[in-house]
Order: sequence, then C-alpha cells, then structure tokens
Amino acid sequence: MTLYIIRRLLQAIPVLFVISIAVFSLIQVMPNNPLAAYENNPDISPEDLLRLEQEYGLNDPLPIKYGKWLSQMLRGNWGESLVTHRPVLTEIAERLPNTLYLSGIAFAIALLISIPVGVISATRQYSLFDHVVTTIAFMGQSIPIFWFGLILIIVFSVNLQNPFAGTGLFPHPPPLPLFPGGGIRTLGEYPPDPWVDRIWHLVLPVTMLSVFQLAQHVRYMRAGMLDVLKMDYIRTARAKGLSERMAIYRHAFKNAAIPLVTIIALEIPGLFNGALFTETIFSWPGMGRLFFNHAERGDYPVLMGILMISAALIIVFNLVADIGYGFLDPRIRYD
Amino acid sequence: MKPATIAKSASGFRPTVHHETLFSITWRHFTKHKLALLGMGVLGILMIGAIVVPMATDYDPGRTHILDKYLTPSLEHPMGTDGLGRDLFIRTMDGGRISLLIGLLAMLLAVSIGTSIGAIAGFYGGVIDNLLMRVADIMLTLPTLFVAILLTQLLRAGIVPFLNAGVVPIVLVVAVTSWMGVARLVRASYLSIKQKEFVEAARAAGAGSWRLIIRHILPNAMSPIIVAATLRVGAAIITESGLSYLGFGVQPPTPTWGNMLRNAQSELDYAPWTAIFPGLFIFLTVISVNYIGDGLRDALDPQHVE
Repeated sequence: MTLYIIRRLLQAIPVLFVISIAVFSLIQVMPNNPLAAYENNPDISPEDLLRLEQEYGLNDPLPIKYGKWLSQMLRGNWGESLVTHRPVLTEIAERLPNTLYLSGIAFAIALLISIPVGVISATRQYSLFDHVVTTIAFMGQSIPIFWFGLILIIVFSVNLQNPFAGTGLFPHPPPLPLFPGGGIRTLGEYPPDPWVDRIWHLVLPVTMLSVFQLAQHVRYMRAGMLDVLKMDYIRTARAKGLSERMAIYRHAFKNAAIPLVTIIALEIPGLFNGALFTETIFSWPGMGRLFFNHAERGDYPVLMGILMISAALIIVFNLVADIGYGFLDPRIRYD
Repeated sequence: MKPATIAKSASGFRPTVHHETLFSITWRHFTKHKLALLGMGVLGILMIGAIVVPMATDYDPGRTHILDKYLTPSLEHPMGTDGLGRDLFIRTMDGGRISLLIGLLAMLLAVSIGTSIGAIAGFYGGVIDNLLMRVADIMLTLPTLFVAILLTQLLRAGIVPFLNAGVVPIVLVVAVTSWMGVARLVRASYLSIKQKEFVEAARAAGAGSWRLIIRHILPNAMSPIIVAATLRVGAAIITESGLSYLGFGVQPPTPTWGNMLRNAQSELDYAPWTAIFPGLFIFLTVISVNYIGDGLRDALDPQHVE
C-alpha cells in the first residue's frame, strides 16, 4: 500500500513537469518585456539596457532559462505578483485555506445528502419520491451554477428577511437579509456569535457549490444501487432471511458505491471550477477569486502559480479517491 | 448489416422481410422518451425564436434608450429592459443565436479533435496510444475553467494572429478544454472494434489503415459519439456563458446569454429580471439538450429492451 502511494506520487512528477513546461512557455510567449519600464528612462542608455539583459539572463537559450526558472520554483521562489508585488506563494497560501474550507464543506454535504437519497430512490424505483429526485437531479446537472448563485441571492438575500434580526442571535437591527449575499464573516458593529456567523455565511455559497455534485452523485448512487440490487448475491441474501435493511446496507451498498467513487475522482477538477464562480459571486476570499481578479489584470505569475497548485492538489485528491476504491472493492490490488 | 424483422404476411404463409434502417429504429425508440421529445420541441422553438425574432423586428437590439432603463417586465417589454434601456426579450433572442452558434461550433470542434485523437490512439495502440492518452490525462488533471480563462487572455492578447476575432477564441478555448472525454470514449470503441472479424476481412481485402479507421470502424463507433456530441452542446453553452459571465468570453456589445448576466449581480436589488431571463434560457437550452442526449443514449443502446 505504502509502495503504491509512493509510486503514484512518483508518477505525478512527469505530469507536474509537463505542466511546468507549459507554464514556462506561456510566460515566454507573453508579450511583455521585464525591462520595458526602463526603455523610456533617459537615465538608462541602450548600453545599460543591453548590460541588464545580459545580467538577468534574458538572452539565454530557452533550455537554460527553463533550468534557472525550475530551480527557483523548486526552492519556493515562484516570482511575485505583477499587481501586488508580493511573492506568489504568499498570495496563494493566504487564500488556499478559505477555498479548501468552502469546497470541503460543500463536498461533504453533497456526499452526506446524495448517498442516502440515491439509495432510497433506487430501492423505491418509480415511486413518487424517485420521480421527484431524478427530475431535480437532472435539473441540478443542467443549471448554470453562476446563475443558480444569482437566483439564491435574489431569493435569500434580497427578498427574504431574517426573522431573528435584532435578537440575541443576530444583534443587527432589521432589515437584515435571511442569508448574506457575500463575504466570509460579518464586518461592522453588530457581529453575531462567531459560530453562528460562520454557518450563516456558508449557507448560500455551499448550496451553490454543492448543487452540481449533489445532482451528479445522486444519479450515480441510484444507478449503481439499481445495478447491484439485480445481482444474484442480493437475492441470496434476501432468500436466506436477511432483513431488507441488512441486504441493502451491508451487502449492496459497498458495491453500489464504486461508480460513485469513479465519478468523484473525475469531478475533482470541477470542484475548482465551481469554486471560481462561487468565490467570485459571494466575494469569498479564496483561490478562485484570486485567480479571477488577477486574470482580469493579466497577472500571469499568480495565475500560473494557482494552476500548478491546483494541478498538484487534484493529483493528490485523485490518489485519495483511488485508495477509496480499495476500501470498497478488495478485488482491486495495489501492486 | 441491416436488422430485419420478419413479419407474417397477410396470407400467413410467406413471410415478408421488412427492413429497418438504424435511423428508423433509433427514431422509434427515441420517440418513446417523452422528455427527450419535449426537449427537442423546446430547443426547436428556442432556435426558431433566436433566428426569427431579431429578423422580424425593426428594434435595434444594440441601441440604448436611456430614459427607459430598468423597466419592469410588461406587455411592451416582456422581459423588461436593462440599465441602458434595451429590451431584454429582443436581446435574449439575439444573444441566443450567438450562444447556440458557439455551442454548436465548439461541440463540432471538440468532437472532431476528440474523435481523431481517440481513433488514432485506439487503432494504433502502443507508444502513440500512450502518448496521446497521457496528454488527455494531463488535461484532465487541470481545472478546465482556469485553463480556459488563461487561454482566452492569451488569445485576446493577439499572440496567434487571426485567432482573436469575434467568437473564434471562445470556440477554440471551449473545444481545447473539452475534447478529452470524447477521445477516451472513441479510443475504447476502437480498441474493441479493431479486434472484430469484419475489420480483419477488410484488412485482408487490402484496406489501408486510414480506410479502416474512417470507412470501416468509425461508422460502428458512431453511437457513443452521437450521444457525447449532443451532451457536449449543453456543456459548451454552459462553459461559454460562464466565461462570458466572468468577462472572458464574447465581449459586449455583442450579446450572449452569459455576458448579458455580467452586470446582473449589482442590479439584483432593483432589477432582478436582468439576471433571471438570460439565465433561464441557458437553463432551458441545456436541460433540453441533456434530455435529448438521454433519449439518444437509450435509443442507440444495442441492449435496449423494449
């Protein structure tokens, strides 16, 4: 097992290497000259410019440039933001925890709801509950998530008022929206209890971020369960007198969840896409919003840094999903 | 190989062989999927509306009427007006034409790239397969939206000449970030079909590799490609509208459903209709396309039980 993990992590190196080459080439093709600021400076002569070019290695052959760039990358020097002039890694490190916090909760909630709903929907195929669930799940897969976010704001933060405004729970006097339309915590003079405030600010972004996954997971869990319930070994389990609950949850569930794990692994990059929209709409200070704000200004070092970090995270999460396979299906061997 | 059903003739003795084409079988199964038919109807109406409405009216969708800004939906303006007094119904229809066009073009390009790569990888196998599939794997480990934003920024900076005009960058970017699923599907089909006897027979008859790939295997690998292509239209419209919503897609004043939502968030307090209608049309289009895809999947499934 340990060996398997080590080997998988080693396999990630070529992937990251290729991405680093792509990142480097993109920086190279960018039409900007680091010395552009000096070009019109009367104190700097053309000879000085040439000397600076030599000194900074701007005329080195590409492989040498790449080598220098890579060795700096590996030492944690990812350059600095063209906008804030702070190190890229510092910028990302400040935002990453907020993204993981939001996406982690959305991911967990999507799983906690979709598994039981999918199982119940499958065990009562063609019931009213099943029809409602499959229809809603289909809608959830087709809705543009940024629009869903806007609708959530219209309903829950523009139109609905918070009935507890002005009480101990929410000291802010009315009118106060039912749920806030942005931010990670209340600023200003009427902060609610920190825990209440946290959850209060999470409700809408988590709903927005989890809707697609929720819909997808329900469909896969339901389909997986329907397949497994037709199997002979489930009939055997029922025939030998096991209760329906035992047959479903002890015998069918683990096998039915295998397709779900596959789809989860495939969806991990999608979680980052969702985070970009959610964080942008709900002014959530995470990595997605950092990417959006800096993309508008063409801040390539930060964009590349975020791309590298998310690729690395996606590789790690994929590995976790693969290990999850082994837990569900002992036939899968890691060797 | 045409499937044939043997029906008893009127006399009851001589069976007549009644041939059905793949198309007619598929269509017969497809029409049993009521929601797919409904989706087709809705999509048809949307497409006709998007083409006819802007042509039938002499209202200039780009012209601003600043005195009529933020009018609530009424008979005169069924979807209200935006912050510049432009009628949202006409703009939504006009934008729909462009969104649908981008969706179709991006799908065609993505499916062509995916099919070519998948076919070559599956047919030749070995090193070529390995190389192509690793490229797909790497693309799949990147968050596509981030890559798409980066690529549009690069294309719009004019790094590659001729690729920064109109809808070209967005179509390219959506296709380049979404061919991988199709490639995997097609590769899997080619891997199994190339083992079949009829391919062996064609090869023995002297067909070259390209002829085998295009004339013999491709028609037999079409079903999953058709389903994936249908679903890709919806996905492409979602990606385009998302990028345009964030400001990285089609640029105003050309309307698309995505960039019409661009300012909607700051207007939610007093003009929520500017946010509701364009998004509702994206949703309607995508759900229709997805139901059609679902219907096609059932209809093209060889194991389909009646």
